[in-house]
Amino acid sequence: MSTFPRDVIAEILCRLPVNRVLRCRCVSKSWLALIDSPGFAKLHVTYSLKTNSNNLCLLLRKVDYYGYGKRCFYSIHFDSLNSRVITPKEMTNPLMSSEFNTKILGSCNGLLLISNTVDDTALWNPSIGKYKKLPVMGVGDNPVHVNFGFGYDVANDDYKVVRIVQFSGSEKGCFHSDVMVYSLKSSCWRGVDEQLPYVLRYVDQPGVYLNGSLHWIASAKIEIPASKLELLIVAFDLGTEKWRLVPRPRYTDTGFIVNLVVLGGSLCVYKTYFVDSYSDWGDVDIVLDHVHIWEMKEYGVKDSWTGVASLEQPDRQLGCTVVPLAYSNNRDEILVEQDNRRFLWTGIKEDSIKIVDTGVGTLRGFLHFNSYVYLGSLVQLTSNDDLNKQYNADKGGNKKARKKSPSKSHNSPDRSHSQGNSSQPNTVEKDNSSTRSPPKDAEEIQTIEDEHTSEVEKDVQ
Amino acid sequence: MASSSSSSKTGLKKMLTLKSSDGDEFELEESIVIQCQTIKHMVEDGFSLIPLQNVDTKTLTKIIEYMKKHAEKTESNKEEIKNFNKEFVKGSFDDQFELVSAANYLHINGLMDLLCQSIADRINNKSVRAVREIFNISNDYTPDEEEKVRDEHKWAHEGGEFDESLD
Repeated sequence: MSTFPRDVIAEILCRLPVNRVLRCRCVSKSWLALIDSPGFAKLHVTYSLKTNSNNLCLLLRKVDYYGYGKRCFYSIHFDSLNSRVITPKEMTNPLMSSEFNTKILGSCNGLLLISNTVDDTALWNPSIGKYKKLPVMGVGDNPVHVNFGFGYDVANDDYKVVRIVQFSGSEKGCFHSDVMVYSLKSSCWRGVDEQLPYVLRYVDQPGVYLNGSLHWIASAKIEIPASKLELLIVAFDLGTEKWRLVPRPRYTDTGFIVNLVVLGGSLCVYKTYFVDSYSDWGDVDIVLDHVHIWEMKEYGVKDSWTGVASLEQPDRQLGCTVVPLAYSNNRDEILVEQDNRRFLWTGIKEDSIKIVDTGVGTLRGFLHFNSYVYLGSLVQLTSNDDLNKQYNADKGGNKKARKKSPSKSHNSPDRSHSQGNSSQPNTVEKDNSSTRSPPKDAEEIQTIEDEHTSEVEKDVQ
Repeated sequence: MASSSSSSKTGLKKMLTLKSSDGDEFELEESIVIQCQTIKHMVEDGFSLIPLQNVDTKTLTKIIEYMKKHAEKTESNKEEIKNFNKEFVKGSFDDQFELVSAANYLHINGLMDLLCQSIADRINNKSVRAVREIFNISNDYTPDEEEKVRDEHKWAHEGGEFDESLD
């Protein structure tokens, strides 16, 4: 079978979960080259998305109220949620810091946007253990809030981070915003011409990715009381870098919080309703009452918004949050995270609730967590520069540059070719702020080297 | 060649002849054969005798069996097709590889999907050594190189016993 066509091998391997594919890198040099190629990573992602298959994982992030303890993550393969014994896998947090709990601000095709502070953010593929720190980009003076989003620009085959910084405007209740886009391909931040004409409603809700766009809940301006607000869905097209409105469901009531989520490949909103609860002692507490999930069955079509499920809070005493995460394979159930401490499978048609025992809480002192859905994928964090460098290393036999270690991007200063940003230190090295800006000389040498490599590549083409 | 005589036998149905690399000829209705994109294009170009130099008689027989069954697919016999598919992928790895190469060459998407998934499921838990044997690949790594590649994703090589068997 030595003449087995390469594309048939690819068709077979793209149906395996990530860890199995990675193991197959050891089979031979040609299999390694195939598996490491961007084309194969894309095929693998496309197949996983198309079949909604076995590659979904949950990432658990510890919520640490006391500011100490290990800030690591755990990963659980989606398929294992139904098995009797679940073994969550410990993941090393690339932004591990004693000061901050690392937040997850976006998830797309296996890459996660993670952040400690606005100056300390990275893209991370937990499945292959690779990450890349984003260059530091100042937020300006007195921002009201900073929001992020992360997704895939289909048109340009690029991954992009969007950062929105909002400032108080001159008119009361109005904000003006500064929108920047980081492109993985070019490795730099760039300003966006078209500014966001709305106010993001929820500071702690990052953009939700679907169909080449990022989505946020927003309103025209801030009003008090908040119930008077018209809650819109704004979308940022990562290809055209333009804002637009996406039709929202008709809200006939008030008194809820709206969140966006993607379930089963559709944009959904879930509305969380609260009620007053009186304890035996006469105290009043606001507790969660129920959650309504609406799905936009056909993207962009207003009339396709359909109510799909109403999740009642099973245990009011403990109830604070219910976060829908994903449909089950047969779409009969929705996996939800309840109160940051456990997972439930809740029936859509039938009123059933199954508690999933992840073993995380009792085993590892991981009492509270946030969870995120991500795809197991092989997508690399390489920019065009990295590809050039790789090419140069392969050509010149520079073993050091070729070495693949998780800290690769760490050690190689990224250059700032970006417009109007040449003075920004574009590299973050370790968490120590004193090493953040590379010596000027080193940066220049790096740029020259890169121009050289670009030429070499052109020659070959 | 056979097309005009066979049309009379089967009424209005247009017939095609597939010829294997061993020289054997198989006569089939066009409606069955057009599941195969490569042949469909040849039919559109006016061919009625289709020589398949990369597909031997044994493999072609299996592929025709698959196409005939799947041409009968309706809403009501889903279970039957499912069982047929299950039986169809039971052969040895070598047989599966012959079939998948042919399905790839002939562009029969459904069959390609079925076979690739079945092979993927079967190698899912195999050891690296077993995968090499199954695909008849010689190890071109030095022990040091292989260890280095292994070390890059150590966790992928951990987690229980891997299957060393070759079937």
